[in-house]
Amino acid sequence: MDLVSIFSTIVLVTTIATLILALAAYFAYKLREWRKPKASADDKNRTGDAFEPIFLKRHMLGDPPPTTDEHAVHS
Amino acid sequence: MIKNYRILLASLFAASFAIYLLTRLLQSWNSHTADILKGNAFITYFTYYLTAFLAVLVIRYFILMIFSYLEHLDNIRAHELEQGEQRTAESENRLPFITIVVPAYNEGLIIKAAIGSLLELDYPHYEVLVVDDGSTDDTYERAQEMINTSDKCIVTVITKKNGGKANALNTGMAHAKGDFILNMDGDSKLSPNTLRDCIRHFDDPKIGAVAGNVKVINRDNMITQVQALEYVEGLALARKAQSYIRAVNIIPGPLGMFRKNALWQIGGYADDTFAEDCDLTLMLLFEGWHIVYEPRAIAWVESPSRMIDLLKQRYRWTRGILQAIKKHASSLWRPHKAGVNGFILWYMLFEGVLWPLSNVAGNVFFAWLGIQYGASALIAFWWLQLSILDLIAAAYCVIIEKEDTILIAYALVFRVFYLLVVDVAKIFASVEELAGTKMSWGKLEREGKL
Repeated sequence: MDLVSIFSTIVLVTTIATLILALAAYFAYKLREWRKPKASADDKNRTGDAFEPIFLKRHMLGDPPPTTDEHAVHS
Repeated sequence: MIKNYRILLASLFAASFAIYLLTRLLQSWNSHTADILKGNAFITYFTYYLTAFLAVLVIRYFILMIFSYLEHLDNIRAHELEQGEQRTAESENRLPFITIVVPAYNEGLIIKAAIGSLLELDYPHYEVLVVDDGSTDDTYERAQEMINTSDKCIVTVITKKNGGKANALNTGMAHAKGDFILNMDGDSKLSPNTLRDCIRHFDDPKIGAVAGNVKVINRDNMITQVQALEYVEGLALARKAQSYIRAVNIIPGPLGMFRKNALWQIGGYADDTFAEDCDLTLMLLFEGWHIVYEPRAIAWVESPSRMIDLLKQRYRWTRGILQAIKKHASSLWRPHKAGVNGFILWYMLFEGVLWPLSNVAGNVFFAWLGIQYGASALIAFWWLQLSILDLIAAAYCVIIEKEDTILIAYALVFRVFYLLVVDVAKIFASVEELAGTKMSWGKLEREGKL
């Protein structure tokens, strides 16, 4: 077996092993995500000002920023 | 110095060996393909496709390296001019006030170190605004301990109910006193010169934002070392090249400075994608703002040190980028109107979808030829060409960025192992995004390396 054949075989085996590992790693990740505790119904139903994303509407230049009374600020 | 010589000699030896192998493999390629290609249309056309893909990659690297080098020269000139200027009380007073916004969710382990590093920045007028996004740990309490610890700048801590990173950044933006806002991650550490190096770009009124240079701090295993190379070769190289045409396509979450007016104009961060930084950057570009990259403004970040965390991160990035592209999809088909931005969208699609798909397909195809026809020389030839390309790009980037030369050696691991694993995850992420599969944010577990 010459050098090129040995080298080629190593690359071939490594690539196949890596492809199998890549698939296994991905499915392991998905399995872990699937088994993670899900958010409770209470979390999903929470509403109110603090849960509304703020400042997501377009603002014209020069507009004052929205009020932020709902946040506790310490400095 | 001696270490560098050894690495240089090893690189020369590796390059000579690679060229020898490439020549021998080319002979094998010619003899094998002549036999295999005979009468098999699928193999013929797929080989043509992969050859075209390889040509596109070579051209891509070539263009990126030329553009990034031109940008590098511009940066050196600008820096030399800046160095020549004397700092006076008057010139320091003229510098604008900057607000640093630090969104933090369960960063109790590292938040004090992160704020502490911000108090050491070399800049006369700035404030630090920490937004605790409803953490369930002691982030808020620990951040509060940093208030009044410095005479140099004011530290303000805001706490709010959990609403996601985009919401936290928007809250910070609404409270910011400065006309310029630096957004970062709670787990990043900035280089002391960051504010000074970023703010100089805003002398040009067309500049809406400056993207910083993100580097890996926890280089303690093979996965994080390869990511350190990837950040230098894959991300910094592309950003530097894009900066030459002032169209950086992703302002990284760990470090981006914005003109507040520009952020107001686009309405801040949207929370309908999982890559809010990419989405915001595209919105700025489509509003006509120019975006540049500042290589000397560095954010050190902890990268995933376990394979499963890495896959989680890349899965989110891929789906987030696709979601951001989808919001501007109409521009894909109107290149005359979208101009450079249309090209940027196609480039992102190529990098996000076509590149991983072609890379994995190429490996599967050649592995199949190796098993079916005993032509294992073909996959070695394919791998070697791409690895040489990676090595050249890695050497160029490491030299330009003055990075650790040992990273060049990781280019081989990058190609044979890392990229294939990440690309498989990217393909699945793209398929699931198309299918509309639900997903969650998935926060990276911190090790407290800052």
